[in-house]
Amino acid sequence: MKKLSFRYETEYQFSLPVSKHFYTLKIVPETTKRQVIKVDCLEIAKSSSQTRSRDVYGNEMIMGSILEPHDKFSFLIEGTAQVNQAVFEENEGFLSAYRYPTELTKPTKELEQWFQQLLERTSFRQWEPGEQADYLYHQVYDYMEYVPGVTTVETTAGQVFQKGQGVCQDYTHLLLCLLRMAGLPGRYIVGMMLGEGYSHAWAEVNINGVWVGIDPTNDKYVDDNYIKISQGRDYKDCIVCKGHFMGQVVQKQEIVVKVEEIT
Amino acid sequence: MGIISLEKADNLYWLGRYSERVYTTSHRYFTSFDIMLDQNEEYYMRYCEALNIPDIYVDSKDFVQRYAFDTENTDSIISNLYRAYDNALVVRDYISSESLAYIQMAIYEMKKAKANIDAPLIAMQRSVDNILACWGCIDDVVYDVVIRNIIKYGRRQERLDLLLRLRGSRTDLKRIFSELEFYLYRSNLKFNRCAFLELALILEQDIIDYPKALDCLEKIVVL
Amino acid sequence: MQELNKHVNDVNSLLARYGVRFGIYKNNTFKEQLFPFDTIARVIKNEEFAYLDKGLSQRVTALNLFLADIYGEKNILKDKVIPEDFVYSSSGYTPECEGIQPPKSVYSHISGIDLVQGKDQNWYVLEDNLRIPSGASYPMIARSLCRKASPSTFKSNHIYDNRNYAEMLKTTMDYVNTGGINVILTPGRFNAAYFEHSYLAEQTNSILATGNDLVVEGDYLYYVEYGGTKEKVGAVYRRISDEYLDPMTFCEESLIGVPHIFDVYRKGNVALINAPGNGVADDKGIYYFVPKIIKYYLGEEAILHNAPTYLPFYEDDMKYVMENLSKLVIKDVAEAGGYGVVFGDSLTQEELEDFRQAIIAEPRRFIAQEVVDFLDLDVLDENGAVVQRKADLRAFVLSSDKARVWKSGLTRFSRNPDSAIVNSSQGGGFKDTWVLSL
Repeated sequence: MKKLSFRYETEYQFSLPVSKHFYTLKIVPETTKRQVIKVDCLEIAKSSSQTRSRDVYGNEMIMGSILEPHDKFSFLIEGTAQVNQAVFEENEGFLSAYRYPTELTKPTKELEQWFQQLLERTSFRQWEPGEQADYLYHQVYDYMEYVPGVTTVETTAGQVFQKGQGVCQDYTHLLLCLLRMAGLPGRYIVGMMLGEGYSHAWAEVNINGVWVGIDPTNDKYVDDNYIKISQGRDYKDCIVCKGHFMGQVVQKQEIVVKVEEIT
Repeated sequence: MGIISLEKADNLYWLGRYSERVYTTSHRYFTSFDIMLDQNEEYYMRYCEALNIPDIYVDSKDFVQRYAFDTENTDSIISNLYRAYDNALVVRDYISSESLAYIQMAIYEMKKAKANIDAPLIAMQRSVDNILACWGCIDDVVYDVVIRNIIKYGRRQERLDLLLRLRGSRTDLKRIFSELEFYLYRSNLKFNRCAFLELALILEQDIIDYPKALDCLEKIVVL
Repeated sequence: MQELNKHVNDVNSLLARYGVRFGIYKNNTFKEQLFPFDTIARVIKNEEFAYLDKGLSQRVTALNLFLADIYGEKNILKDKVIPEDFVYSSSGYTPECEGIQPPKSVYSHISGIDLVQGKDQNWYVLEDNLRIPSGASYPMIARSLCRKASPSTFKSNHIYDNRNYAEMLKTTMDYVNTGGINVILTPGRFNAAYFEHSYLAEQTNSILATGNDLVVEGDYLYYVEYGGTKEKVGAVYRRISDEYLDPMTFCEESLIGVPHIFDVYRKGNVALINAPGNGVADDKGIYYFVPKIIKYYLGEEAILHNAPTYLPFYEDDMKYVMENLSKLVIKDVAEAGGYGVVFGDSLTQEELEDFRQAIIAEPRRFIAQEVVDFLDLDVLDENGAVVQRKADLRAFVLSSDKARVWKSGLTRFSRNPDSAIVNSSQGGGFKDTWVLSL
């Protein structure tokens, strides 16, 4: 068990003023059995209207709009999390969506072939689900090379497999694709990790009714250094800040994420 | 009814302007056609200059054809009629299918007029009749007076605009200006009070500054 | 009827007068063309329509229950009546709709059921359209024009008036309205069915709006007036597909939708007509299961028949399809509007082989049907001669407190003697549909 403090800050700069700006933020971590969250500060750019809602995956959403012209948009959340890796979230709600491929995690022919090869090399079929998941995430880690900048948020698991390179999002999509081919429900997680930098992405696999966190990018199971923010079928369900506005502009984004242990 | 969005208000206003433009310029076209018949073949040049539209025509025959019927020519009567139609089409629920049908028929008549290029005025007259019928129909079936007033305001603005370009007399200008004022206040459109008052002043001066008046007129309505 | 045929030109010129058109995209440019109308109506006898009425109401009632179940309890999957694969891997299944109960639990407010009559006189359902079926406005306006052109026809025949469609539609909207005005949301005038959108708005006294006219503020949807005041919206008959409805929930690039409208819907503060997510029930794959769906929810046998259909997903069916491909119709479950429909007998040996491979590769993607021997209908050709052409019938079922069938329908026919594809986007024409009241 660890106590962590977190701070997630983002600022967008638009090259020209934009208007009729609508946003949806999924930035509030939820208190679960695994993590007890206390939010100390939540600041969002001055808005024309704002409301809260919850999406089908259970994520809290802050939705609002800024109708007047503006050239900046920012938000900040700060708080503490008491994390206990020894307990797991049980399955709540519907599992089915996590068992089927999405556009970003759809297997291609090459991926299917690879999956077959992985199976043939071992007695995969006889293993327990936990062993299967364990095997698959090591395979992803071994196959991939961590290279930032070669993929985008639109890159599919099939393209990731072709490249063999990518970042945490790509590792996670590839793993989800394999898990789902193996018949294991898997979900995409966006969250924060101890240290300073960006947000992080990893996967959770449902094994015998509980969700087990796996970080394929770091080749390990999720421990007390991880705070979960949102969950979904793939990246698209977990977009931290979605926006829609009038104006043809170039936007610059700055993100600062900081997680520290409180002793 | 009576709930009008900004976009729809804009469509109603432009429906008024374009239908008025077709109506008034058609009548001017009839006069020019008559003059060019046996008096002055080059009369169209003065016409273009007065309306401040580019004189792209080779001769009077070319003008008769392309000013009226050339859909590629953005200043032609038919192009303006299509713009009226484009604006009418998206406000069918405000002006009724019946009113819209008259604009549609005006287009059909213009096509017929084009086919009979030696004597186009007969079918063109029917096209103009349909514009009048459309206005009459709107007056008759549209219950909401604000909708009618926005269209009428657009028509007065266009009429004043054309009259200023053609250097109309103070009496005519002032008459239309007072109609414009009437509908402006009854259309609930947002407007630029300074531009409006300045235009009123210009029309009172000994020598009317036409270009400046046109400039003010264009600035009155803010949509 | 002959009396009316004499006035075919009058009717068509009236249709032109009222600009009864639909738009098509050819080589990336938008064109509007008149929808060719044939004065020879399809006539359905009173007792025959009573049978269709019962069958259609039953079908739509069951499909509405199916949708409520899929996005709710999922009993039909738990009871293994339908393999869950068919639901969850359907492109129409929309997880965002899970757990949302639409106002008054109506999912498919306006259903367009496509039927054909076989040479054996039996009616077969070809397709259910539960998303945004279009076409009701055409027979509606054609009827009013035919009555002008040939009044005596309607005095001497006893035909149900079909101009009550607007009233039925308005009742449907009012029933689910959560408090506020009714709005018809159109993608804009460059949509194929823009005529219908604007005509129905006029006829139902609703506001025709584009995405720009609507705005979400807090938990409600508003129509913004030009003076800046806001009018609350209680029901949106949206003629925009799910994908483009809300850029914040679905396709982010959509410029025709309304940001956050889905959230207002989720909170029960506006009715969306039809409900998002309906695509899961009119999927060509689910079509196969509709008789089972009816039995499951209503405990009744299906009154209307499906065309004999095979699912390559099942081994036996795959075997049959492979062996009989050249005499079957193959449909791609993901396509609509007459696209993705291939007749086996029109393919070369090589193409057949390619298709076999495609089906083996993705069995879930295709269904195969026996070719129904259509009962051809009389049509007047360009020279006024009577010829026989393939035709179908789109029946409209409107659901509020219960399902009600409109006593008319859109009869579409193929103008090409060799084609059985009747869709207007593929150049077909239309007829009025007369339901006799005696």
